[in-house]
Amino acid sequence: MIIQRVSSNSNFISWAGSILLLALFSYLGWVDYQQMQTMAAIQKWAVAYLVSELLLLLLLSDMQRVTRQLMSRLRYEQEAKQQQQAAESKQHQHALSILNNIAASFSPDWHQQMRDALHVASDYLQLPIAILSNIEKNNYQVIVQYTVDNSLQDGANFDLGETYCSITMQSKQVIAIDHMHASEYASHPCYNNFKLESYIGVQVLVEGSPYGTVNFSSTEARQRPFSQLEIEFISLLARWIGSVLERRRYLDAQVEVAQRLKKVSAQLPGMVYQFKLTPDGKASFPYSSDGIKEIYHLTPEQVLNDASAVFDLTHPDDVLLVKSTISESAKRLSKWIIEYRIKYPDGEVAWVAGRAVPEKQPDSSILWHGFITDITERKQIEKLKDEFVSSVSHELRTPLTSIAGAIGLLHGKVLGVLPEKAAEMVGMAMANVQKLQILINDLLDMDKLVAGKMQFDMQTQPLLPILQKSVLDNKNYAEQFKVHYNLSDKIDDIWVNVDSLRLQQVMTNLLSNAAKFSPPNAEVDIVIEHDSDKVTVKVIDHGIGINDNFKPLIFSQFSQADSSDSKIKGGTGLGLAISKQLITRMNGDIGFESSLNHGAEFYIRLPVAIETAQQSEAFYD
Amino acid sequence: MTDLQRIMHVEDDPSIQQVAKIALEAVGGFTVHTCSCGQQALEDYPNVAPQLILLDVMMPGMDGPTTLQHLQQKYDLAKVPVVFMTAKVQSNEVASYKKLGGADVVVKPFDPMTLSDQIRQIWTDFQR
Repeated sequence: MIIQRVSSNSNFISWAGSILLLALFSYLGWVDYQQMQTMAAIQKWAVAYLVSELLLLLLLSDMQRVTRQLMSRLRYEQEAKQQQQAAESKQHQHALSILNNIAASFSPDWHQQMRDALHVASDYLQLPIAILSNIEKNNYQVIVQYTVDNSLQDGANFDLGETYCSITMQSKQVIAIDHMHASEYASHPCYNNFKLESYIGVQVLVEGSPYGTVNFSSTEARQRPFSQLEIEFISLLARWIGSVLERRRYLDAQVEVAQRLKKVSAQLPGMVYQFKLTPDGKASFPYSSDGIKEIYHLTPEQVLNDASAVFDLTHPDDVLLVKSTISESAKRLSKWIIEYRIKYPDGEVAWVAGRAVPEKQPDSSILWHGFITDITERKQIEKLKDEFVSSVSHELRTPLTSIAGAIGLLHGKVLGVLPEKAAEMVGMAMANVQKLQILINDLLDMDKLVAGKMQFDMQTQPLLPILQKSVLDNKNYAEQFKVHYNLSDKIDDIWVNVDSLRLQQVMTNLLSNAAKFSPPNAEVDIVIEHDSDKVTVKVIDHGIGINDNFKPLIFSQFSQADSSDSKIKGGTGLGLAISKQLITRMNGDIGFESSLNHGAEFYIRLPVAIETAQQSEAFYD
Repeated sequence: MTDLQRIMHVEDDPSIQQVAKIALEAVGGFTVHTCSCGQQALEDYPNVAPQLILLDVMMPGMDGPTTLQHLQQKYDLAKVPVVFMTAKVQSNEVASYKKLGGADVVVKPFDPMTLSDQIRQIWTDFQR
């Protein structure tokens, strides 16, 4: 284009110049001819014109030639540049593809993965020594290396000051040195020690903090300087290594957590697990510790996706219970706590206790985190204990019956009148035998209540006769303390649904306590109040009252306000604990109001059985 | 109504045998024939011809209810109330002993001073 324009311009100049020259010389010739009037003048100017024309044409053609040469050189240079660009871009692509291969490579052994990466990068950079280092304080440790001649080992340590990386660690940039001897670092100890002429390296950052360096070096100087591309390459490589190390740390931490859980759970006497129930009813154990081998004789893998093996092993009599409690726990998101049996294929049966906390998942499935432990031994011991308590109580009662009987006969003067002192001793023995009887009865009751084995014979019946009988039964006891019971008989005919013997037991407790803690000649009032659905029986004494410190403990087992009480007042400290259990089991509640030195007011509140009462009234009509 | 006089007491523990005998004879004025086991009760019954039998529930070998069964099979007990003696019981257990043919239940440990009154009351109730 440029050349064409140059040639068309020169053509135009040659034509225009020629015409101008022709006009100029024609005019000069004609003026000369007017003066001289000879042909010689015209010839002279014609020759001058021809010469000028020739010079003009020569000049123009030379100019054209020079321009052409210039242009073609320009074009050549342009092509060369394009070629170089293409080559560079090819190199760029090559570098990127190497980086990409490095990044995409995966090896479970990350050291090997790093070594492969260093190998590829070392080939690309044409530097035979490649190192990934970890630098802490002044120690330079080779984490992974690739050397063409195997001159270096993983794990080798150097003093940081002895390596070029002491320079790299001070810079955030890539340090690239083509020819060490000619550089400002010629006096560096590393050059003296290792004679490394070329070096390229950069810091590796892990989670934002310096980890070490990735660096490549050679004992030979570079023939051409490090290109911008090579500098970018190593910078990208360092970032990739940093991210691999980060991921590694994260995975290591996870593996450590998993191993910790495994180690800790292996020490537990049972199985730790997660149990999952999806909305479509599919059950599985996303996690179970090795303890499942002991509990269910199954492996965690066997129940990972399907929990049915576990349900198949559950004792046929307990499967329904297990399933219904799970549904209940899922519905209310309440803790799952249960004891059930496992029946193994060989027919052996084990007792286990399970407990788990449910958690609703975003996909509406429920995930329980829990623990199951073998309690077969505990169940056996419990059974032994039950048998022990029952046999001991029987064994104790038999001699106690004869002791109580014998002393009772002596005390009753059936076998003659005893001397005064002897009678006193017999009285004391009798009081203690009674205490012993109460103690054994209380122990047996508590044991039955705690085990949930106490049976209640619930009958709808009038309340007043039960109270009257209780008062009558305790009258003798109260007389010991010179205390008088005052039961108001002006009460309506209220019916309650209770076990009369158990209610009497509770009343005996309240009445005897009231007598025990009353001053001599005091009255204990038994007051009945009721509304449409509850009846309250109050036992009010005018004794010492209850200490504030003791109030929270009053219904707990083996509690007595004063530890010397048992010596002075008698009792096991079980009475109120038993009473509370009994009243609760009869759907009522028990409580008290008291301030020190102003007596105590114990009450029991029971639901009124109105309808039955009305029917019964009709019956009595 | 005939007065209660002859009582047969079936009890394995010698101490309780002795206490019960004194309580019933010295306090209540009854005549007590003591048997140490159910087998002896079966053998002695025709000779003693008791008006009331006091029968311990828990005995080695033949227990109280079984002894009662054998007595009923062998003899006519229509007019002889059988009273079981046992450790502290619940009211529904009393019902089950009555179902077995017992007239009533006396709870162990018993009060020797009131045992006779208790037995006499049971006798009176049984006569009605």
